[in-house]
Amino acid sequence: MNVAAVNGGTEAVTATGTFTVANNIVTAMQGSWTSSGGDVPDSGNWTAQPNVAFNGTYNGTVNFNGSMPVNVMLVLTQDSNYGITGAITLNDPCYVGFNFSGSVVGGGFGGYNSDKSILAGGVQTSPSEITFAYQSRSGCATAGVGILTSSTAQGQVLQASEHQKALLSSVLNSLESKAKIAEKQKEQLRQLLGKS
Amino acid sequence: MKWTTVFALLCLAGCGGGGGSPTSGGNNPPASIPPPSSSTATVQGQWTFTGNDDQDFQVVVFANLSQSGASTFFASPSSVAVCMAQQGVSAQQAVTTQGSTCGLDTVPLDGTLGANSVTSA
Repeated sequence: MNVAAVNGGTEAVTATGTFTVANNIVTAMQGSWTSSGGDVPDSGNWTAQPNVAFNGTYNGTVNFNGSMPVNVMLVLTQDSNYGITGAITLNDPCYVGFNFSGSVVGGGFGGYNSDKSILAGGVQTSPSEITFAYQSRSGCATAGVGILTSSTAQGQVLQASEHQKALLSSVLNSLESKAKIAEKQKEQLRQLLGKS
Repeated sequence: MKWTTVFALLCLAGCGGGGGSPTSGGNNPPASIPPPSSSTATVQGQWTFTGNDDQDFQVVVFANLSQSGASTFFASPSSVAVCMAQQGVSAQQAVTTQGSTCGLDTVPLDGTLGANSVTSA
């Protein structure tokens, strides 16, 4: 079946597959893919699962590099435009809590606190579980990562994915990069306005 | 294995001819009832795509899908994050590892649900 492709025109990925429907809603997709145009032809399988909105209270512990686990309570609220706000309460050496806001992309979310000194994000590993992480970008140096669960989250069964957990760092890094780009754009805009 | 992009276009179950068999929660339609001409299933919302190969790489695509018709869906680049990592990396290892292999605003995602899909009641 059909094709895909393309980043810089160097490699094409063809993805095909099937989907599962329940009550007129697609609940899963899966299939195989092949690539061409790269150094070595490659192929494999793919699956897709829907994610539930990030809403509710999540509890758990976080730590960093073997440090003493810290209790965390995280309240997440997602809006209809994939915006998200979070309020976290914890006993971190640097913070007793902070709020952040950001965006949701698929099964991941990320954002900053008001002065952008703390980056926070998470990846959904089941409708009631997220892998959550935060990291200070300036000021008091701290970080934490852990599994948080919600007893109020609703949704369909989603296979917990080690893949998603393993990619949390990448999500956080990309969000940080995006924020940097936005700041650069703002600066360019300021310069333009200053000249006009 | 190198993936420079993933799933820029998905074609699922019946799009363009060929392909795999649709599934429908384990329910198969009666043989006397022809399949619908196009899917009417809802696919919009938050999705996580995971791909792997027989080597040591995995690709995860996070996407907020919008539905543009009865059977087509899409996500703009700003709603798609493509991430790559080696398999078997724990969350904590990943968080402490420097270097991003994840990108936002890089590729769009378009897909079609095939005409021979089967919807359950």
